[in-house]
Amino acid sequence: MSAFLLLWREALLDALRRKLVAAIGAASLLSLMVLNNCAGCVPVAQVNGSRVEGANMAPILGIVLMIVVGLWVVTLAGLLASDHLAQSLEDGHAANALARPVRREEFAFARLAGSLTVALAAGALLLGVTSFWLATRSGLPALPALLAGAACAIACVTVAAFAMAASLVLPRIAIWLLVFGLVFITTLAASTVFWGPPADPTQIGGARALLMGLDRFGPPIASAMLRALAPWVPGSPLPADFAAVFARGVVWAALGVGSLAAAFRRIELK
Amino acid sequence: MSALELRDVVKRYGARAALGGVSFELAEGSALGLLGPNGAGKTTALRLLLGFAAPDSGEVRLRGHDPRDSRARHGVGYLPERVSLPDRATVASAVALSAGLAGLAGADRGAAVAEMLDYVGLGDRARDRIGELSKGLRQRVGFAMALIGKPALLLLDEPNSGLDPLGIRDARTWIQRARDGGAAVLLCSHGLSEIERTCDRVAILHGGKLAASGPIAEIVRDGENLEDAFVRLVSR
Repeated sequence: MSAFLLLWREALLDALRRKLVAAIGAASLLSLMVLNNCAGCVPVAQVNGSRVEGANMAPILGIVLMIVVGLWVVTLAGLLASDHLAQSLEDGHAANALARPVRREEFAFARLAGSLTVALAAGALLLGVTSFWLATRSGLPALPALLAGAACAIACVTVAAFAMAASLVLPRIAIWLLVFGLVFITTLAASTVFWGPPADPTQIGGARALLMGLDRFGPPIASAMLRALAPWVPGSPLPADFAAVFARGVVWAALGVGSLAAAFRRIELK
Repeated sequence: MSALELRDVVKRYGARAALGGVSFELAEGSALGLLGPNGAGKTTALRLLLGFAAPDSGEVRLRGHDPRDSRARHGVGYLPERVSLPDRATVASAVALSAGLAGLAGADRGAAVAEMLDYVGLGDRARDRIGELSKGLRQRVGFAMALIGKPALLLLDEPNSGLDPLGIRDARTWIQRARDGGAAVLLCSHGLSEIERTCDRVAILHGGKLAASGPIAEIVRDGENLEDAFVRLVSR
């Protein structure tokens, strides 16, 4: 077994031993119970004074459910990664491993992979069950859910890698705030662009312009998932820019992983 | 080729020089005691040798390579001053991980772990969790992790820390057997009698500088033991 696999296994076991994982398990179960109700309900809403039946609401409800679950998984990936590497520096595990012929990158990536395995497994379960329920109960096709799942996984790598890199210089509480802040602000940006009024080209600057810039160039966390799920709305094809947004997500993930490697290579071990 | 070498090494932390132009080397198959009062720079030297930190100037070589290159750490066993391990890991899993990283694989690894645990007196504690062990037993786990894979170079930082007299005697035997097997040993310790028994040469650090270096017989004057020589050299 290669050093990376040995270290990944150790990192996964470390992640599973943490109390946070028990909390994640409980929260995931609760989420599934809530999702079971939401994916099975037949909502009735008043839109412009007209009564809209559940069947017509299903696509919007499905998109909202998938985005909420996806964002929860991305946040979870960031929180788990926030001290998974830093903790190994404190408890001496990193020094023990790095005294052997192990490259710094190998160690850091194994820690990242260990924490991501837990987050992605929770994500696969939650998004998988949600999309299954939405497909069987509301007839929503599976392909958009699959694409959204892939976009969510890429976002998990991005947020976890940046959180882990930042944990080498910042305390855990600061990382948690950054993770919540990043997920919130990118979701706000995506919502503004997706559902807000069209941009006025004569008006440059202000908060809206900042959010649009963030959605256009920043890590597409909610943005890529929203685009992937757009075909659920009748008559809406997959947006033309989906591939470009997805590719931007991959670039951000690579930047995150690269910054983790660079940060870990630079630090001095005790 | 030297097992390890520091040449004119300077390492600063802020304005303070932990090492200020230190040079020493350890030949293959020999044993060097690295001595010095607290804060003399011994642990800093070890950190540089393991690639945990980089020198501000000068050159550090470990088995012929820059220690930050992972190839340099092939065949190196390291025992830190405080053996820190995850409390929930078992004794066998901690040693098995070290064996795997040392390059042992498959059935060889399992057999080597069992043999090593017997060797350090932990054969019946293999399934115990690290958190349940006393400091002395943890130190034995640390020895097992350092010795597994028959390293060609052992870096030992206060190896007797936490050991009872029987453990100290065992540790001396393990180090001696490693030497007999051809391993070079760098031993950082305040236990001067232990150094005198185990090492051929010493390097004495004081205030980040090398106060003396050479064979013990040349450093210790007539009528002195190593402790007297140490006190004389670091009181200057």
